[in-house]
Amino acid sequence: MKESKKCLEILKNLCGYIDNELTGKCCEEIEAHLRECPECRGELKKMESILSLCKKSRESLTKTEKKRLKENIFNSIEKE
Amino acid sequence: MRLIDKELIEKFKNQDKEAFSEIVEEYSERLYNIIYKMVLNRDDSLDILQNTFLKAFKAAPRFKGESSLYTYLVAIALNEARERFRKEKRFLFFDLDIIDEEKNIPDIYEEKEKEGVRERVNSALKKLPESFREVLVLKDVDGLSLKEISEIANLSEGGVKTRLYRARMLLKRMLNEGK
Repeated sequence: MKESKKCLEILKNLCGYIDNELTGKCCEEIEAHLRECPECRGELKKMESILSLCKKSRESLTKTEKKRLKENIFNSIEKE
Repeated sequence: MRLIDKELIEKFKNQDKEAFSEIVEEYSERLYNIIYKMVLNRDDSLDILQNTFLKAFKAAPRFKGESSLYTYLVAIALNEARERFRKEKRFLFFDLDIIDEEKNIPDIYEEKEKEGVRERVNSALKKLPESFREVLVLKDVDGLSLKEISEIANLSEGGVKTRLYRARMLLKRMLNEGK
């Protein structure tokens, strides 16, 4: 990927852009650059995919584990 | 199930078991998810989760309500997880300079299957330094705000942002390597 100075600046702000933490002016600047730069659009897509993977990777307790957890907690509390 | 409200929190502070049971019911799943992503082991995670709730119950009268009850529980859970890392000397040393090497990364993020996603993400998370993994799990897996993370991690919001940026770059690299 060829990175211009502008691209590097945009990449540093991509996380904030994805997290909706940037001001209107800064967002507009990034969006204008993204329209013109396929490399940065690609980076944005990759980052969004990673965040989506993180959300999808959620772990969960089974019903038995949850039941046992509560039993263990309250047994321990009762003992003390 | 009612939401965690002021009345419930007051009861929690008085170590009311019924109220505490509701709190365990409400937060166990979400806390387990965070803990698992930190220690990446089911038995350890269950153990840490149990200890987290027990410690929270014991310390309940001292809960001041300066942070939300959830972030308070997360802070306890992370301390427990860190303690476990330390006891078992499972520190993850990593050369942070590699995150500046962001060249020639192929586009490999088309995988959509639910199965395998957890394994891929967990395998990449395992290679992240503990402090990076922590902010990434809190923000991108659990969905806490930067402000909440800054309270839990005892960092400024700017510090959280910087660490999160580096953690995401590193995770991206690890996901590529694991493909």
